[in-house]
Amino acid sequence: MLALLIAKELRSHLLSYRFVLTLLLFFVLIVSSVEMLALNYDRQATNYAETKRSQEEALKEATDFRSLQWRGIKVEKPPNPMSVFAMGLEREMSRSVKVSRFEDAKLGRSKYANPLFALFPAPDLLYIVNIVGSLLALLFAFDAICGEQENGTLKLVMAYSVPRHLVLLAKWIGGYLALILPFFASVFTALLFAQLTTSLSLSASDWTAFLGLMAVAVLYMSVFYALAMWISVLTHRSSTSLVLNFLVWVILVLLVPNTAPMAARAMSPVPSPGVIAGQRQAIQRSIWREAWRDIRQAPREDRAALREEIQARIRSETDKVMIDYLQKVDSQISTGVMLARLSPSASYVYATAGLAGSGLTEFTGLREYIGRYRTEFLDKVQQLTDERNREAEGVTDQEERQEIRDAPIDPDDLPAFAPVRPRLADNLVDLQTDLLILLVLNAVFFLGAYSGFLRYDLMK
Amino acid sequence: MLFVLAAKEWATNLLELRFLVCASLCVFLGVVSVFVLRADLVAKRTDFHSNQSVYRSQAEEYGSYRQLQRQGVRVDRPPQNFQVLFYGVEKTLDRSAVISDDYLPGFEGDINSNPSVLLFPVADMLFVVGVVLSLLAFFMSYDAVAGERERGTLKLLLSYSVPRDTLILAKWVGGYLSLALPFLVSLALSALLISASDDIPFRGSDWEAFFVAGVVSLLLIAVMFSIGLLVSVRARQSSTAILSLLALWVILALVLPNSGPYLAEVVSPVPGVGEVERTIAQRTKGLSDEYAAGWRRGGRRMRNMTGEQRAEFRRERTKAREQLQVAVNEATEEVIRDFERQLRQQIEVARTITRLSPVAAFVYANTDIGETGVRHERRLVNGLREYQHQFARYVAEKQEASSGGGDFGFGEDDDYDIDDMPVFQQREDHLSDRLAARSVDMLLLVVFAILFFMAAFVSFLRTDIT
Repeated sequence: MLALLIAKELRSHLLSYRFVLTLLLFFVLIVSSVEMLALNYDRQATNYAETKRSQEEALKEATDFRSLQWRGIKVEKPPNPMSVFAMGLEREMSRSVKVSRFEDAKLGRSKYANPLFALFPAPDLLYIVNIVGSLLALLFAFDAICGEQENGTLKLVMAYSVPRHLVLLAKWIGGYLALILPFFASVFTALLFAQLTTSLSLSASDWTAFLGLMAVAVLYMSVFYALAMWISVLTHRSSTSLVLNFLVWVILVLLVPNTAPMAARAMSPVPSPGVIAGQRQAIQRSIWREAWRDIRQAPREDRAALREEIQARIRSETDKVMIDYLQKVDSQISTGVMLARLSPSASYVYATAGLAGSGLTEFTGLREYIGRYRTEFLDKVQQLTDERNREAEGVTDQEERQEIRDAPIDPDDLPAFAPVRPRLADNLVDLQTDLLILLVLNAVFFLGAYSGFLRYDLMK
Repeated sequence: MLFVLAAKEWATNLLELRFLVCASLCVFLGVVSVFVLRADLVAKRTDFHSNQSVYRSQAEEYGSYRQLQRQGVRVDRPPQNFQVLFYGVEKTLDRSAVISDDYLPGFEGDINSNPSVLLFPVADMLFVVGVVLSLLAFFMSYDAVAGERERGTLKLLLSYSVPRDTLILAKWVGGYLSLALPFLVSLALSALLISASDDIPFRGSDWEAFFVAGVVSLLLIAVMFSIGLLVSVRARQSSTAILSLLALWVILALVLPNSGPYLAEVVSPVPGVGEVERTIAQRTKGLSDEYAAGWRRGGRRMRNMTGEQRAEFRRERTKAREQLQVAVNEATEEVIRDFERQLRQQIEVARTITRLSPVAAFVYANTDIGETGVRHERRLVNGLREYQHQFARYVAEKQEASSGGGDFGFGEDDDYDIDDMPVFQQREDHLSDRLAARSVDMLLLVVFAILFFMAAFVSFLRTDIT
């Protein structure tokens, strides 16, 4: 019985204009978006390899090793192939970062960036599913019940001996299949096409993440499908249902997630980073100024230890400022995330960007990694300097000594900058809130539709 | 006659649920967006002003011009008044620049800032009009003709002695008004919200820009409404009309504008940052090698020199160093200028591709009118570079005049005083210049509006009403 009803539902959808339109929209949008971003990724990957190679060459040729810790080196995260599907914060994360002793790492290279990117969000798969997918889900279900009621066919169906819950379930399954099949077909084609024409290639863990991406997308669209079905059960005219659906959609998808981060900024303010950087500089300066005399008066052999002690003091003082500041930033971020989660759209974006490795967690992870890398790099440079000094001690000729100290360095001796993307299992822990929200909303909306339909007045 | 018909159209719209929903959405979204962004702007302005004095006092503490030159002064991105309406390029992590002896400064993002704003588009007036209102325009117009034809009232109406042209004009006027009036209310409310806040100094020219931006928004709504009317005339059924319009909306408002920059990157690529830096390094390597060789040659001789000769040699090297710096600057500037020319071209390509969509034209026009667009970004960076030149000149003069003193390494200048240091000030961009720069986009919107209305008009004259 159920199979029969589903088949009927599916058939009537397949013949409709909106199915053709959905198929076309999904196909054109997804294939062109994936292809476009894959081409982009291609360029980024080439650029990255080229830059890395030339940086290594420069290191091999450089004849002033001693200045390396002041000049610093530029490091860059390799481009993430998953960003083709969810750009997220990838653009901000893949900027080149300068790591040196006296400067803080900056995520900067904006002076060379195209400002148009700031004007519009990236047209990636995430965006298409988030906005177009949810809209299409509403369009598929807004007249599921009230449309049939208007046409009078609902009465006809119910005149047969079919239980109401079966009718509703069949409608849900049939209609949702009709929505999701074109989606999968488009994604599959897009993936195939992009892999054939560009250098995009996914590793095993990327494939798992991609499957996760698809699962979240399916879950997200079904939230809106169930919601539209519920609204269609609550109304008796399809035009009313359409308007109400649309109202809910604008608020959930366009208003809440877009306002939340701004509202969070106003609700839990954070001092601007420039002030914090200045504070740290001031602390450093004042400690040095106090200690300067002591160092000069101290006997020569104690000076190194004294310097070390001062450095440690500076570190602990500035760390205090930083920890306090980062706590504020984190609380602002979590306020924004909590506010945005009022809407399933935000949950979808967080989950997808997290799976693709371009979300907020990865941003924080990168920040921490850069900090660790900086220490590691500076320690290594210090160690190499010490080794060379020891080596040079025995040499009498001044020039030769200088040559030993300034000799070019093998890039392999320096620690490699390779931020690891968190594993999927770790990611799942972060994602579980969002996944849970989507699941619960699915259940709630479907149950709402179900209980509404059981008491639906056919005669009205 | 026209008046009666338009009034009838307006009255029927007014009684519908969708008008209520559209009008309340329009007003609600407008007010919420301005309210939230106003709080954001006020916070930014306070931050900006307090930071300015903090940065100044930090610079005063350096104690030596050498330190000032090396560590530099910070400059924050000045908050733009119009970001309460059009957030535009302000949606960036790059908030503060360090002006030092690096002569090509730029705003950079702090690694510790909150990136969550970047995950979603900002719900500003730009978004409300470009995305939501353009959809509402389709929503109000999809059944203007198709619906009446389905219900049979169109036949009835035309059985009176009403000319078709008056009828379609009345439909346009009545429908457009029922959309434009809520928008004007929302605009008036946001103007009220802006003027009620003492912290946002909207001046005369800002209000003029506000007015122009309002007119451009109305133009966009007119374009979208005309497209909706056209589809409604052409479609057999209103359900077909709304579906087609939704697909059209997705493409015009959501996809085309966003794809522009990415398409332009494929069509007209610019070299990556790494490549630019490589070119600069290649160009300047010869110069600095020569300089280093000079040192090495001299270093060997120096051991046998008298004190006077050594001082002479040092002076000579300092001079050579200055010359080297000038030569390196020139070479770098050439590379950067070339790169920026290519980037401008890429932006132009992106704009040209996306202008097919009236929403994109609207965004380009209004962000530049409100000084939160690409033009502003370019002027800001140029201003920053100019300021760096001023700063460098100032420090050099001071250093020359300074008597020095203190130790060599951690030396402090006894007469360190930077009260007269120049302050970064963004030069004003006159409204007329901004309008002239965006005349193409505004013209395009007018052309679109006329074109689509004419198409709807002509189609309706020839349409089959049964």
